[in-house]
Amino acid sequence: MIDKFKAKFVEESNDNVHDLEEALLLLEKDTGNKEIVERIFRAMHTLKGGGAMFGFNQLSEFTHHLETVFDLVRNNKLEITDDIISLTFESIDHIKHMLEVGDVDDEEELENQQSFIQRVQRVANLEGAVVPKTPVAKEEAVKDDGSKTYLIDIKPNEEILRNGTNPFYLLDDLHAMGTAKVVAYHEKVPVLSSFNPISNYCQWQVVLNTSESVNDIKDVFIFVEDECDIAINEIGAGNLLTSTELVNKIDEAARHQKPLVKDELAGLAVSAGDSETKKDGKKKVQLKEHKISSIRVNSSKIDELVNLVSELVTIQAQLNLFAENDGNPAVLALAENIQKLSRQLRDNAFSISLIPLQSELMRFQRLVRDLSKELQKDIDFVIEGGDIELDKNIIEHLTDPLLHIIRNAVDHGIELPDERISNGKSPKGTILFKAYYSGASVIVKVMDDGKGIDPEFIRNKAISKGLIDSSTELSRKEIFELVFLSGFSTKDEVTDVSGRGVGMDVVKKKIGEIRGEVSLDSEIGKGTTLTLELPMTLSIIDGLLVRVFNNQYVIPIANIEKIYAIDSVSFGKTFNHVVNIDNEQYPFIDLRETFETELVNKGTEQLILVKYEDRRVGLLVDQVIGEFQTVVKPMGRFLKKQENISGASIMGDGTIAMVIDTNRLIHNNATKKYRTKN
Amino acid sequence: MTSIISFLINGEVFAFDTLKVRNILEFDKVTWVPNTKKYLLGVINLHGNIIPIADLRMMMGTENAEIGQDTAIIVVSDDDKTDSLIGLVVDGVKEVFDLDEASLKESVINGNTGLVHTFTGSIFKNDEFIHIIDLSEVVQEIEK
Repeated sequence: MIDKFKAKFVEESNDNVHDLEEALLLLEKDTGNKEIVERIFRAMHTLKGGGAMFGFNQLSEFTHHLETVFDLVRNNKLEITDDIISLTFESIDHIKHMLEVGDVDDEEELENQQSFIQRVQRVANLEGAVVPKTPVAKEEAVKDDGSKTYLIDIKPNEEILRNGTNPFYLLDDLHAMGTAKVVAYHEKVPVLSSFNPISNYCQWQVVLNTSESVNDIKDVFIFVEDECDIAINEIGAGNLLTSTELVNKIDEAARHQKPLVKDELAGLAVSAGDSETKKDGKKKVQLKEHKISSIRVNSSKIDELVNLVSELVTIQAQLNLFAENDGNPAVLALAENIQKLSRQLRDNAFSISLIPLQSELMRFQRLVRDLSKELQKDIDFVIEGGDIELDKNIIEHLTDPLLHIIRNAVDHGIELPDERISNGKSPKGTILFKAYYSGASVIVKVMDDGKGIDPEFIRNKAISKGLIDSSTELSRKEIFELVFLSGFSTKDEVTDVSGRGVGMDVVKKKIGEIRGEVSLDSEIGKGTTLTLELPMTLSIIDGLLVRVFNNQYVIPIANIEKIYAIDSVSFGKTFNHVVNIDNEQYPFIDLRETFETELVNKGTEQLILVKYEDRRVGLLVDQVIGEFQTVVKPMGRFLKKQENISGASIMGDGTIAMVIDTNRLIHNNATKKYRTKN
Repeated sequence: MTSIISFLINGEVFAFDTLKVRNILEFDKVTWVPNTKKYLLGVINLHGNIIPIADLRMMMGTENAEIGQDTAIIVVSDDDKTDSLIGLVVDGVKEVFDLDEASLKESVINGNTGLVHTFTGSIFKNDEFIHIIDLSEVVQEIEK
């Protein structure tokens, strides 16, 4: 049970850490923004509180020190510096680590942690010695820092001590929330002879100034609600405890054991200063909490939902088929309605599994920031189209390649500031991350304005690595394609940051796994652009249903250029596998041959021209049946080796059509031919 | 005590651990998948999942295995994941019974006809030997 709560805490804390990182990145750009500081403080506070509650004591302790720093910032006693931000980033990484491992007792680890805490403390203490940057607020002048002052009545009943509650802890908790002044009323304490040591005779009043909400104050009393009468009344905005009049009143109440009355204090608050009423608007902004507009669902549940919907779509197609054959108008109408509903349901279910790119972008921002600091480069990371949504499975596959691409841009692309200035560029480099929809695909571009890549350099390198022959003529595009070949790494020495020999070939492979394409373009002195073309979702495609021998296959429409009847084209006579269409020659693949089936030419075959990289290749099939939207299902672990087929679709009548991966098919075919030639 | 399911291949009785078995189906239309091993007959649609079908008879060395009235598909999974489901074609399913592990004898294998060589063991029941197949070897062979 506890483990479950712990897991939940870790999950939520990761969100908090995420929020913290995001806020910190914002703060870096706008160091004076108190709202962001507030947000950071809040996230840390939650981490601290939760950590202690769920047994992450070290985390809690560590966060406490960090929180202290931001408390100083919040109270204008400390100014945000680059050092603080860097330290906080490091701390966040440490927090992540602690969330992962929990409390540790490994000595080395503890020592590490201790030295970290000391660094954090140093920042806090250092500033304690420095004269506060803003003058101390004068008496009577109520400072508007978004806080409020409350009068809290605590009247525990006599039995409270029997439950092991120590009311002083409650007071301590209140003190921890801000500044508080406590008045104890002890009139009811009887003479010693009738004094029962396990009964409580006291009650308290607390004037508390805090920026926490009323609910947070209530939380302090959450375990003693039944044994206590608690009244929390707001007496005014700002820290009224700086008003001497109020303090005097409190002292007086203590002396005379005469309880404070809310209205009296509230009256004081009004007279204490009229400045805060003007600032009301601003205060609201600061106290605004994030509204919950989404719920957390286990991703496997979503997968299941999408699967079920896919099945429903299949069954619905069967129903349609049946209704058409049956011819009963009532059944037809029903089938049509169900079709409409299931289509909506399908769209809905698929949109649930789409998540915005934004969720991953922060990691990239962080990466650019950390790396550029390390490499002493000055880089602006600009994001466009962070709200573009992609299937979560695609995003999962996308992170690593993108990290690699961005790392490359920072390490190899952007020059050092001096070099940039001498090249007549602004010292600050820019990496633009841009995402947009294009048809059924999403295009992601990573553009840097760095030094660019010389095509000739790539060519020579490829020759020296034996990847191409020195006599090979290559187009500009083809040259840039070389970068994606395995074993190609342009930086001569291996740096810590990127270029461990594995590089763009892995990127290409990874992107290929999610049916995406990657290409590179570059101009010397101007920069490099990497373009990824990705499908929006993996599981549903528009396909052309074709027949090869006895089987049905689906070819993704996105790859198809044109369809020709066999009698409208003429086959080259000299080479076996070239076809002439409209005075152009294209290579073609006879699918019956590739699939090793019976090959009977009836003269009714059709040729489908598909795109392959920037070429066109024909696929010869027995028959084109029509266009279908289909749900692609995986073929399972045992058929992974079958590369020509990327999945299978269940047709309306329950039969199976295999989805052809044209890119792989053509690629495999080309390499096979190449091999046989040798 | 494990329970096992026995089935026929070319007149001999073999068995699997029932815990690995997900479904038993009649042999129906199988959609052939190009460019695969000969004993992989293709795929079927089982409750919306695509399941590959391997002819266990061919794997065990039977040539020209025919499809008859009793021919059945035993759908198994070695790690309980949908991704690893595979249907194995046998000549007929016999019965499910509890295995008394004490009666388990070492299987005597002579020759090397098929692709499956290791057995968990054999038992003698109702005048016939039942050989218990080690599913992991079958799975490994298919995955190769």
